[in-house]
Amino acid sequence: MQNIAYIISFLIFGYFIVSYDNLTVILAGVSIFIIGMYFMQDGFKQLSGGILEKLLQKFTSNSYYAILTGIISTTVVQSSTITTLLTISFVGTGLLTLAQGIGVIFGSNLGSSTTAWIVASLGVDVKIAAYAFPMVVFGVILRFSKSNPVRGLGNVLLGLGFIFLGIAYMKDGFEEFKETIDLASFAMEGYLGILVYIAIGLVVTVVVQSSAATMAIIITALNLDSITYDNALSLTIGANVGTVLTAYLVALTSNENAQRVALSHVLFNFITATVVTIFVFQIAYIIDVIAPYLGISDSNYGIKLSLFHSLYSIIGILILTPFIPQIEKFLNKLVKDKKTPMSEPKYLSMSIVGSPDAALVALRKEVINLYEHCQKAMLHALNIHTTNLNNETLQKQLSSKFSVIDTDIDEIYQKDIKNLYSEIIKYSSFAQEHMFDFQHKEAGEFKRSAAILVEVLKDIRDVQKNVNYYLKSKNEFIKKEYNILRKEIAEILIDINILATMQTDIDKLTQLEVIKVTLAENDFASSEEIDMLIREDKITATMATSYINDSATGYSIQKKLVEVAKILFLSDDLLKQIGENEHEFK
Amino acid sequence: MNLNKLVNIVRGYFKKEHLEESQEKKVLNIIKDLKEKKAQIKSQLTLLDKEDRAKKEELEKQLMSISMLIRKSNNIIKKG
Repeated sequence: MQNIAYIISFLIFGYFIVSYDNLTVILAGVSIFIIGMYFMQDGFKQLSGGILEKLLQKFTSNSYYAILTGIISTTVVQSSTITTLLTISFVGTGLLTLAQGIGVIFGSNLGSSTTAWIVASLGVDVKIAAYAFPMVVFGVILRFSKSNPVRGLGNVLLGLGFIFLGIAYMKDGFEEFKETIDLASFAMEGYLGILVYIAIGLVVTVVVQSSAATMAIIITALNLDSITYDNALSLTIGANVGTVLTAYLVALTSNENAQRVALSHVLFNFITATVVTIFVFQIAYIIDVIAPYLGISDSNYGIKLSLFHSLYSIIGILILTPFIPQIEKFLNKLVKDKKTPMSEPKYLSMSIVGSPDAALVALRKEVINLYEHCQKAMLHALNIHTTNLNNETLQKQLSSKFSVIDTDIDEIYQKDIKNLYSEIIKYSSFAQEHMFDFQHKEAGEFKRSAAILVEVLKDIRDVQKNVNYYLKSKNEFIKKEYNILRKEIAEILIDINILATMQTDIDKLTQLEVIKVTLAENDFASSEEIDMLIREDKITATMATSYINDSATGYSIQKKLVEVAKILFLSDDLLKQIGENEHEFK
Repeated sequence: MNLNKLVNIVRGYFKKEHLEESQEKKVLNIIKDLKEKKAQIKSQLTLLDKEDRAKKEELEKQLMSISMLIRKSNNIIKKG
């Protein structure tokens, strides 16, 4: 039924396009403009080499910096949607706090008005189509380059060329269309007109999925007198409100924090739109008053509309910034934390799969999440409780009476681990497509660490059977050896947990080396001990062979865990290189 | 001038002079930090209660690990 509705709508739409040549030209212009936006955004991403991600991570220490970062990032990539989606994902993965995310979102609203300024200042007075073709040609040539930044520049040029071409088509279309149907005759005055045109602006933005494209249409139509200035103001308000839908749709599939950020975007635009709608005539008057001081002529409505677009966001920022802590509290109350099933990824958001730095952060966090699940399963398999586990409580558990914790590693793997592991592998493969060599390598390392964790889990399953068997044995010597094996694996896990919470890289590096020294000592002590027990006939040959096998597996488990810790918790390549094993494990 | 030659000169500058020097500098900074940490642990050891054997062992293990890391760092510089 739904498909039939789509086909009918498509046919009606097709009929209008075929019947009205000029409408076709306008729509083609909008389409070319949108393609241009895609190329330009993609180009900026390649050209900047992850500058947006770096900006977002480094310069958001307080609300004002966060707002400024939002403005700059959106201006650089020419898309508030990209900034918003990245911010949503960053807050979702814990890279930014909710308050910082809200600040960036506020700033991105203001940053988005730069597109309107570009269209208004370039698109009207200059015959931009003349520049479009050379840009497209040079853009295509540069796209053949093997270097990513040069290809990025090619995409930016190609994008700009298409944007200019799109505007030129829209302009031609509106000029011709005006002769057939005078849109200005549909102009509506008063508050009814404002509401109707806000709704039109909103719908157009939702359909074209870009407020910049809507602004280009509005400014072009306004400059050709196809719509009145008052109605253009309302359309602009509608265009701003329309942008919230994309963000919210993405957030619906993300975690709670991401949903809160998306809601802050909704809140910002609805509150600002309400205030601006109420005072729209007063704001228009203020623009008329200040325009001459800014060198804007009275009849330059395109630029005045861009000024209105900027003022809209400035008003929103001024009203809402002092209340960011309250907004944060409100959003925390509105969207309650839900418990994610263990098998579902917590951080892998598809919206950042194309942003290498952000995708790497998400991957690292997800593998750490996998590590935590595996760690719990491993300790339970060794009959060690994980609540408040540290070296002291471990000693208490080991010296108290042994009791089996019912743990089926195969079942845990099938139920909780397998899906999470597959998602990590799938996500990193997608993310690697967009990465430079060094990032590609890092993602590969995360994949490898996830694979090692699964191996470790299977190794522990092999040891578990004998641990449970010999811990019930009447032979105190073999019992003691298996207890030592449990202790060593648990201690390595505790030491890695300590490493994970350390603040400086030097502390982490030292801790990793301490773990390796301990591991080497354990291996040496274990083989000495078992030789002595065999010589003194204190354990049977069967016990000895079981223990030798399990001890080797235990040592291998610990080695693998150290490798995983190095990949997950040492962030710098040079530190990893220093932390490489030289002699210990060979 | 041959364009390839020019590219090689620029590439050479970045690889040999600039980048490697910065890598060496980074390693030297790490060694400096490790030495500082070593000194801190040594002073902790001198202040430590002689009865606290577990803590003593822990600190000594840290000292040994740091010495190993300093050696590995120096090896990286030597290898270039």
